[in-house]
Amino acid sequence: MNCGIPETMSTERPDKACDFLLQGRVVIIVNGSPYAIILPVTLIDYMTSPEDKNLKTNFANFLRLLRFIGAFLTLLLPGLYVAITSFHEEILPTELLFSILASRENVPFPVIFEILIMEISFELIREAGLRVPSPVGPTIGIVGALVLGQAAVSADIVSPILIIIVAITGIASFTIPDFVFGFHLRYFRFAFILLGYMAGFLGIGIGLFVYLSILCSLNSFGIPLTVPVAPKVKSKGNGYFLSPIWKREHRASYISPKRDSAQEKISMKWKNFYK
Amino acid sequence: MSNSKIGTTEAVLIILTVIISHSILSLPRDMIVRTQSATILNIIYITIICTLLALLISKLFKKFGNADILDVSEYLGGNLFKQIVGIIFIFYYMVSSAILLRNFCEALGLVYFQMTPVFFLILLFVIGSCISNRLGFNVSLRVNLLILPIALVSIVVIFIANFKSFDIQKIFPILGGGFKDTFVTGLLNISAFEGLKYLYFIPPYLKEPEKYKKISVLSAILTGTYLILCVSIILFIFPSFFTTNEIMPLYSAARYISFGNFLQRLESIFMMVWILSFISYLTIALKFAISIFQKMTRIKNTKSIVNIFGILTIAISLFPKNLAVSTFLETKIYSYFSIAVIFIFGIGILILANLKKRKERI
Amino acid sequence: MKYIFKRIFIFAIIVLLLVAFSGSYKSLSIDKLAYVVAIGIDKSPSQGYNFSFQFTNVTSSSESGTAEKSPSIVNNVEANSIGSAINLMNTYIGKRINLSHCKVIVFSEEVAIEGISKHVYTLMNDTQIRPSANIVVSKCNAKYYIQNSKPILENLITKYYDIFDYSSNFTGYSADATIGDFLNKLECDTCNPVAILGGMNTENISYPTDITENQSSSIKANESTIFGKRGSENIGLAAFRDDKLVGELNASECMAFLNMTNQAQGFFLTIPDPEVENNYLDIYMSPKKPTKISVKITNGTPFIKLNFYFSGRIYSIDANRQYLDEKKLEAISSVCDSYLESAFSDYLYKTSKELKSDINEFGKYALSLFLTTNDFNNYNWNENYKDAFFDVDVSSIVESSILLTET
Repeated sequence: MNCGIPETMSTERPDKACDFLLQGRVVIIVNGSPYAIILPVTLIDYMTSPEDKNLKTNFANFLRLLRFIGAFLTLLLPGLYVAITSFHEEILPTELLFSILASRENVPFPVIFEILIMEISFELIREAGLRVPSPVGPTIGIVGALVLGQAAVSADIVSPILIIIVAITGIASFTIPDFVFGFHLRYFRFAFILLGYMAGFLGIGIGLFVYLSILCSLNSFGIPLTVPVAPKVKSKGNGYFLSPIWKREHRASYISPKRDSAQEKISMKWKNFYK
Repeated sequence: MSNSKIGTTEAVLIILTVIISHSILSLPRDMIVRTQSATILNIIYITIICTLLALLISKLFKKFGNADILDVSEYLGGNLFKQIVGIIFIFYYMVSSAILLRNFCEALGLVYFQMTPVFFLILLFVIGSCISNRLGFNVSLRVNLLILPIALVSIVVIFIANFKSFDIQKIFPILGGGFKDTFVTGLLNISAFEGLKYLYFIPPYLKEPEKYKKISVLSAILTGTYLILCVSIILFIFPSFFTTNEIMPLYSAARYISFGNFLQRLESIFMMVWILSFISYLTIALKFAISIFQKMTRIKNTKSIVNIFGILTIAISLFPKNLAVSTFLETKIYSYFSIAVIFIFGIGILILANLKKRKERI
Repeated sequence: MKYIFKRIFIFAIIVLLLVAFSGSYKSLSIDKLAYVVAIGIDKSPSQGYNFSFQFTNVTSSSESGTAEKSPSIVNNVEANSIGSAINLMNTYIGKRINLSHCKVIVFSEEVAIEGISKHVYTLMNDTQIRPSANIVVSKCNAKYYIQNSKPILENLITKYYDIFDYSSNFTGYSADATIGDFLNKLECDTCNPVAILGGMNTENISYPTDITENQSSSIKANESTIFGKRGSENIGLAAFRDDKLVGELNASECMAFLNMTNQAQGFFLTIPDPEVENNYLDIYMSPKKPTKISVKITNGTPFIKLNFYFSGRIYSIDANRQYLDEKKLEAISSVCDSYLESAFSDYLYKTSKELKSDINEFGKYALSLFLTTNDFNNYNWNENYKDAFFDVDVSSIVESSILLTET
């Protein structure tokens, strides 16, 4: 049961391919194709960008945290909104609830229909933006998103809160570096919308459990996708968050590299630690 | 199957799933009803006893290498005894998880889904756990590793968030119902440590079998610590001379959390975390029942019998007529059943097998 | 072939589940619910009770720039119980009532005297009610109280309900009595519950002739000298024994209650000036340490010793005075001590002799004197509390005035 989760990564960037090669992975280059295929990969690799290693560690970790939040929002935010407005309104602060009620007063559609209309429109705008000729290209984004959204609110087809939810979901989906992984998250959020509508947090909980099970069952050429978190393996300095440059001494043990150490134990010899 | 191994952390967390899932329901309330304000003293007392029992189990297993209790019972009484022991344990795993499932779904139905028959809530849980079980042996263990720390953190959050409404004086009178109630009758609270049931079946699957002793002791201590946290929340917020009983005391405690005026009534978020941990518990219980069955019958591929076990779980959980019967089963019958199977029957088999081995050596 | 059957089977299960859960999501959808913000319960002359439900008109609440305050709608119905009242109200308004944002539950005095445990248990049995909703006993009709609850400094009435109990943090004239705490104290053998005392403010502005006792500290709701745009007010507390109303606490007694239960964060104290006759000083007192309470049982009667520690700042300043002189500050401190000791003692003897109700939760400090629950139950704390003796010791330090130290 693959469900669209990729097990290899493809990239056009030589520096990214070289970086993975130096980590101990395999890179496949085919004559005539601009893409290089990297394998094996883990979930962590989908959420990292090659620029992370060039930034200061703190900033890189901040960006990784942002991407994690982005992935969470892409997958679950519309589903959570539907679940909260259908089953769990007591979580919302009273003023926010009344504001949502007031904005929804003249809207004829139920929440599920509204959200499906807006999500599908957003995907249509995204897909259309790819094929529009370049002079008109940027305009379509502005016309589509702003004008269409604003016009839909003024025409009382959707409520303004929903536009915010859909916009945040869309923006969050752009934070994920790998295109295929981001696509699969966009694909699955519809399942969570349906589950949230059907059974609230229970549906989302069960859906999340099944989704996590599928993630944990996948292997990328023998390496589980969710390593080193599950199964728990000791990988010094190769977790989700980057360690400082001088601590990146070891390659990831879970990919069984030929040479375990990437640097010497004390690589900054000029610092004279033991004097 | 042969290369599916359980790591140390995974093993400890398997044992903790049980206590987390049961503590969401009526376990803390039952303990407080039994031992009143001396419950925390009683938990410390039974944690020490259960740690010693867990040590005993690990010591009794040492002579048998990587065998689980089915192999030990085959050594003790032959193939017939092994089948009997297997059937008893399968029955225990299925019935315990089905009763808890029924109670949890009834509680969910009361709170959120009053218009939906409880059958469909049970069906949702069983579908989720069957899908997870069909995907492979290690899958549910890995998901458990992801989910359980969040569930543990949720209890700590409830503890900290409710701290300002705690009345520490509720720990008095220190002996609660009296010495006999706390230390003699209170020994029945040992059924809270039913997570130790997995200790009988994990030895063949361990990645590092030499860490078995560490797993057993650590899981007993962690279970005790978790129980102290749960019981403190309920003892210090609600009046201990309980005349009102609630279906889910921790849920009621979560309703008291408020940060200012904008973050109130967060119990639905905790409910989602608890739903995740509950379905994880159900999946692992089903998985072990299936693996016992596989060992008894030597079936190669268990994918097709997962569905049958799922249907059996639904059937058993629909057996009680209504919430009153299933609550009675959970509060009264369940604890005696757990103590009989885990602490008396299981340890009895191990002691007898060890005696037989010593006799053979002589 | 098998693949298609599998797909059809999965599709059938999804449709079945959607249909099965449709009842729940249709009934709980946000569009079909009407949110009650306050409930009032009065005694009805004809049958049962008169229930009032306050709703907010959500349309006007969405306009952020408008200066007009959002009006609230109050509907009443007579019924025997809350459940039948809600049922009748659902029929009337069409939408389904939801209590998850109900902030205030108001009982009239008559209902409170008869006993409110049935209503409290029924409300807490409902999954929707918040344990943090405030309980108010109003001296006038609950219906008038709710109708006159209008927001004056806020747009929505719910904003006012959210913050009105917050005033107890800095005035000491009210308390945050919630329905969750009420239920817990009702169940408890060692304490009795309280509720906020509400009423209507009057246009009565008669000033006292005897200025040795300051009028403003002994006022209650329905008797204050406040006149404002909003008719309803909350000053003081209603004391219960079990679930029946037995008495009321005025503003200064309420301040004493907050100090006994360690809920006070600061309050104003008006004391006679030790230097100038017929002059009064306003001191802002705040607790320096938590109140130390110890309970002993001598000859079967409780003996309760309380130690209070306060620090104060002088708020009211007169001309030609020095406010940083150590001896003068000590004199002011000792006047504060004796004033507070007498106020607290009067309050404590009122709770034990007059109200016969341990609303200060002293019983929980007595728990440690007993070894088992049976011993404590046999002692019967609530019966013995009315013979209790108190020893109050206040130690306050008035440190200085605020910005001006000498005039």
